[in-house]
Amino acid sequence: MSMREVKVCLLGEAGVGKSSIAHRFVMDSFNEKQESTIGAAFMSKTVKYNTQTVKFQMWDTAGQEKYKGLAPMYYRGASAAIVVYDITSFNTYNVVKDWVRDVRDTCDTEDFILIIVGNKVDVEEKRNVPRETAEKYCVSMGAHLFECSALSGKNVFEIFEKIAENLPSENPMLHHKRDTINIRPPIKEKKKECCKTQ
Amino acid sequence: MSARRKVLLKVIILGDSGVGKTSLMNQYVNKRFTTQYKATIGADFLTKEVMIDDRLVTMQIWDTAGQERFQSLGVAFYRGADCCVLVYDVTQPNTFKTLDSWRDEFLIQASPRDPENFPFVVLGNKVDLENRAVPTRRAQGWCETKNNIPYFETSAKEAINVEQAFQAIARKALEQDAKTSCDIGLEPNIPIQPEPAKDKSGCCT
Amino acid sequence: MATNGPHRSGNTNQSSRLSRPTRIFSKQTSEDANNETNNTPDKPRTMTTALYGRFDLEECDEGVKINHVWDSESGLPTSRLINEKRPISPSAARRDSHWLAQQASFSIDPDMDSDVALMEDILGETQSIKHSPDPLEEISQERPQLDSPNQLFPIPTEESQEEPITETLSSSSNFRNIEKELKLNKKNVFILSESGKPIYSRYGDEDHAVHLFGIMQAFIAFVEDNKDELLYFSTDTHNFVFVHKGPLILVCIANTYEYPDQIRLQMNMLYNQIISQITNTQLNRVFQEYRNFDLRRWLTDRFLSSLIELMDEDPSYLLQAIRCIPMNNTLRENINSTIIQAGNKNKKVLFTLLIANTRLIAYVRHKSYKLGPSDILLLFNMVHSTTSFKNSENWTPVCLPDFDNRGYMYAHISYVNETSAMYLILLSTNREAFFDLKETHTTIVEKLNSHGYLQKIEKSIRYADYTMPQIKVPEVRHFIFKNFRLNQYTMPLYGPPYVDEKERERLYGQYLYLNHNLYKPTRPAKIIYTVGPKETLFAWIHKEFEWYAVFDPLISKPSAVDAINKLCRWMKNTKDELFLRPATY
Repeated sequence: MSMREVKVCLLGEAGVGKSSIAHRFVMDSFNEKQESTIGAAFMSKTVKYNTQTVKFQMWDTAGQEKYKGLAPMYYRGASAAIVVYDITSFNTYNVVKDWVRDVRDTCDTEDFILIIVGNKVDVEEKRNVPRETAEKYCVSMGAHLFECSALSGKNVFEIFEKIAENLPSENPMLHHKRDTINIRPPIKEKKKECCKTQ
Repeated sequence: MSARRKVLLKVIILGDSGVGKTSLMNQYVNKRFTTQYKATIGADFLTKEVMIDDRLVTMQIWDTAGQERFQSLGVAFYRGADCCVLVYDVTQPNTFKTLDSWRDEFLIQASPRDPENFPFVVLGNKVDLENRAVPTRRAQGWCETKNNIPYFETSAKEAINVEQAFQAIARKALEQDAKTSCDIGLEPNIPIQPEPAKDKSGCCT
Repeated sequence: MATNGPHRSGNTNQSSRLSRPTRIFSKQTSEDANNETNNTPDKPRTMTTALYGRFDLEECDEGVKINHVWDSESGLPTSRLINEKRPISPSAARRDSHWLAQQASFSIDPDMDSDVALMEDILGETQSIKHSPDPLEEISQERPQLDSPNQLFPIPTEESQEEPITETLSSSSNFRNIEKELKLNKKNVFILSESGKPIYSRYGDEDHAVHLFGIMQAFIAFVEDNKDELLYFSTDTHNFVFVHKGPLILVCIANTYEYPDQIRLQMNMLYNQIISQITNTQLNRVFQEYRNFDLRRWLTDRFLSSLIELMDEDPSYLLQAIRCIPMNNTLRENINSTIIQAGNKNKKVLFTLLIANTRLIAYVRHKSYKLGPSDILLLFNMVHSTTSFKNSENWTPVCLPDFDNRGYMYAHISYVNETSAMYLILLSTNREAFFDLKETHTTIVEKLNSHGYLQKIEKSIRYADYTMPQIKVPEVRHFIFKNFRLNQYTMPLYGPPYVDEKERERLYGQYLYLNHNLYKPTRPAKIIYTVGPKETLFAWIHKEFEWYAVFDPLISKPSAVDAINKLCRWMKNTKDELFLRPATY
């Protein structure tokens, strides 16, 4: 069985729960006092699915405005982007659209997997973003929608399963990776190079 | 986390002494007008929280002294203003004529980035008095020539139009404040200079 | 000895009437003070009056009562005050002090102006700002005699006799809370932009302090419009320190043992911590383009709050020096060579730091570049301030102002494992170098682990602290030793009698006092030996080191000297363990 490496980038407004989703997925835990991310955090997890083993390499980016200029660095080479909003805050949902536009501008390939995630369904009573609204938008953008709770764990693992399902077949994948920064542990002969491999 | 923080809007009130700047502020902030005239010396300010379109902002209104004092107050007070309010007395034509120089002075002192579009609001005060001397049309005309400055006729004494005028001022100021947030791109990508020598070897750039 | 000398009681009792005067220092005054014979003809000698006085604030039924007491006890300060309209002759003040003692209380109604008045009084009697006409007109060499006690307070002019407005404003009540908080908190820090926009407040929401920010901005602006720079005021309980740097104004209102110059240093560190997030170039550019820019959304408050907390008690910031984990030299060399080997494979690393909490274990730098202690301290604080670096590898831009305040470095920050307090910071100028640095990090950790160094370091961390009995110089209760060349310092654990927090704080106050006197610009001391009621203090500045020590108050001078010599020998023998030498790539 082959091992696939997938680079995933988590995007979204500050405070929507990107880090919590990442921690839920990687460590299956939830930190009440999760502090805001500084710069970007990198995590990886290997998951066995029926047909393949996938190593997720995740960039959990900081939502704060000042780090926004750095985001392209993280999603540029990614195979999938998870754009997160908080279902209790319409403002964070509006920001999703900006992110999607930016990501689409850069990662405009057929194989690129775009997932939009409404977090915090554990506080359903405070919901501000109707599922239908988000659904409509996702359809129009060719994105997948998930509503999850990093707190309870509901629907978090499903997001990543979806990414694994939608991975393109092996060969084109390599092709796409060529003009991006290298996300694999560099192989020996590459070590002396400091520029992009052409 | 980054709950949107309350914006502070800095507003400067200018105009000849005696036109009622301080009274307008008192009327607006305190809902109470003392007939005792207060000549302002130096500068003074008040703060007030205002709701604009469901958004709570803090207005900091700087009241200044009469014209002869302008220089001594110094540029620092005017820097970073979000809106400038020009006040004249509708019964005193002289106070209307000086609006031009007040506006110019402000633009020189505060030197805003885009002087043409810097928000001003003009208030013609003391409309409660009988002896009106500056017709509305004339004032409106002047405002139109200055890039359509919003114009209000007020009476601090009778609380006419004061609330409305300050709402407009707050709105203008908020627009000015918002201008700084959208079109600034802080790409954190300034390279450290000089690049260390080590990078030169074996690098294809 | 200075008024707030080593044995200052930290008295916060507001009811004592006559006490230290409020004194205001601006750049010009301190220059005047430094150079009393400053009589250059092109620079007219500025008026040398000072505001004497202190205030008490009391809450009473009618509102807040200001008890203003003019001080007549103190000597004549040489400082020029902010253009007080009616300069006060000290002799006249003395003459009238009896009257003053009776008349000095007055009430202010909670009207809209009282906020300002209150703050002005907090800030040390600045009616002059509101009431003086063009200050340049008032420069006078002769100080007129005081005719009537009334003149001590600004005489209300006809126009300004305003009927008090009794309605209370919401902002006014906010302000009252702030004012209460100001007194409640030992050290308040406010950061605002030149145009008075709030950026940061240590306590509470900075939104609630907008009134205060307005006054501070006006204050700074007023002094600067007179081509001067406001440095600080001191009342008998509080220091009000102002730092106007770049487009920012930093204000500290502190009731601590710290001296204004020491607080200034802290404000500069805070400024640098802001620069570390935005770079100096961008900070200036953004405020040039938008004077009314709201910087708050670009800053991580946690970095600032954490830095203030660290600076309150960690001597590193006062000394601008790093503290290491002591360990034997062989282990150090092994760690260094591990780091160098891993880094040499990958030429993108400029600096590597191995750190436990806020103490340095190893530091390897590129041979042509150096990091200053203040930059390293900022990095310590950054990691110290947040838990978000745990459990992941992190990549963040950071500007190190001392190294280069124009641009960002990129930092790979990651703990060596989930349980350890040990983390590595790898710095590169290449923003795309994450995966290279990640690999270097992994290599270093693997090697340290496989050679057993990691366990040895963990052991060193556990035994990092030593006590005075361990080094067998019982006469010395505590000391701080700074090595100038390496910018590192060492100190033992606090032993008796400095076991409770209050005593430790007091001891730290002694060190602050000694430090102040070693670095006083007017008359710096080389050696200080002073006997106080609770301890004997010793400080010594030498071209290679700086030394502070405390002894029993009853120790004789010869025994103290003997003890210092013993410590010197100990220091010499153990210096390789105590201090680390940076290795280079």
